Amino acid sequence: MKIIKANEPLMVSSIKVLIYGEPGVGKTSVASTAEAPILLDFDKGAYRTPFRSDVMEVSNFLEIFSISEHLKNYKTIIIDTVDTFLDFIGSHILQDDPRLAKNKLQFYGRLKDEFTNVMKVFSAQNKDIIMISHLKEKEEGDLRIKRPAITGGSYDKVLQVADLVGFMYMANTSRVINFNPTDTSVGKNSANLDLVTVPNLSSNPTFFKGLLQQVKQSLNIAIQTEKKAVDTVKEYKAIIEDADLEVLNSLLSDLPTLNTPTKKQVWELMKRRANELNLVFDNNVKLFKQQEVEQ
Amino acid sequence: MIRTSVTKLDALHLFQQGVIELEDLIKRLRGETVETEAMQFGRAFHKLLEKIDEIEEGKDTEIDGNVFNANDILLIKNNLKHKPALGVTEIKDVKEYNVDGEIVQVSAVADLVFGETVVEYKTTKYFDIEKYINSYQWRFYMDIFGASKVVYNIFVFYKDQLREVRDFTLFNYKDLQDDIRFLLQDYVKLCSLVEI
Repeated sequence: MKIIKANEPLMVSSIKVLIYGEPGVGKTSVASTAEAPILLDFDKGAYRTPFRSDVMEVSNFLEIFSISEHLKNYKTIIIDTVDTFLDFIGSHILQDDPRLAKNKLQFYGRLKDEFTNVMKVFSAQNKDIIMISHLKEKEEGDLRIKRPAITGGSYDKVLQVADLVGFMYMANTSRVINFNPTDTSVGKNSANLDLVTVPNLSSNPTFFKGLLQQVKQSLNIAIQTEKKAVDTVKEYKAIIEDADLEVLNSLLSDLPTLNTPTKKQVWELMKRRANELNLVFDNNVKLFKQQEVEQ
Repeated sequence: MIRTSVTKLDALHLFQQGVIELEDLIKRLRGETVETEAMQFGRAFHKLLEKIDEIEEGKDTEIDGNVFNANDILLIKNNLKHKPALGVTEIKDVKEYNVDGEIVQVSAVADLVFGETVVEYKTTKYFDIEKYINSYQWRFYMDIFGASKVVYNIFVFYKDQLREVRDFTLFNYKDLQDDIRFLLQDYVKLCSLVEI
């Protein structure tokens, strides 16, 4: 067991991805190029996939909790489709407590809880999770928004837990995945990815493995950068708390060396301290000075 | 120079999406909207957050006529994303954009900046993730505060009772600058057509 100290950043070793798109666009095939994948075939549609991984057919929700032993040799779990998976959870909940059929609020609350539990079980085993979803179009004003076809209240939860949400579609003759949120499609792009063109999977059988590694690297760099920024602000906070006019002015030369969010926080703290000391910032000389008292 | 705010630009985007009517948009841009009960509650909630660490455990608190019960206060405290003490709260900033020769000054107020993250605390009756994803608030915050991500910490209240706390993160993306520029171009066009 490894203990990670409170001052050490927690690094990302597994992630959750949601891919949605029209039937037949190749979502399952793409997911099958992730690292050591196993497909949980809730939709019973794996036979349609030309480029598929090992498949486990799941017939009821409780089986999910008893398959851990079978999953140990796999790194990626593909849930195909997440909507059918949620239906499985829903059926299980209603079998367990039929009264919830009449209480939608409680039903969806329980659905979200059970979904979260499964995600936790998989994440605890350090598995990457790829959720596959069909496409649904929603009219909003003059726009037709493309979004994952996921049942009611649990849609929010799926989008919340996913690190990446990508819309897969055909652009001319290529298949592409857009992780950016746009006015016409839902997306989540935690790694600042460009529009991803899907290569020929036969000659690139580890395409998604590479992409997910890139995403994890990017997330881990972001975690380290964030920690550095938090520590820097903490150090300045300690100085500014007791700073006088001279110290505040001496800190001004540090500001250009800081990155934008850190600079904005430090500058705000300096302004607040200056206010406490009745100081004003003289824009002409770019220094704090004592507020002049009118006679 | 055109002076505006992230809230007003977001209103323009809501109009473009067909969520609000032109009349409502103009009212919002002119600052003529009447504060709704939900807005008043949200304001009281933010006041609660400002002093949440000072509130004695087990005590209800009344702010501007809104009562927050002790259980809810504890839940809020335990579910706050990022400790405000580690970042800087209520940061105001402005950024000037050159939009085809016209300078547009956009002002923003972030609830909390923590490291490279902007955190926004919101109250709502019904949680709809797309409402936040589609908004331009987080896009402008990302750009104005130089953040790498924006976290929405959502407190779902129903009949003044805290029902659920949700949080989700939105990230910077390649086309963000273009999206901002296109909206600003539309805003400049609107300003040339309507007195705001």
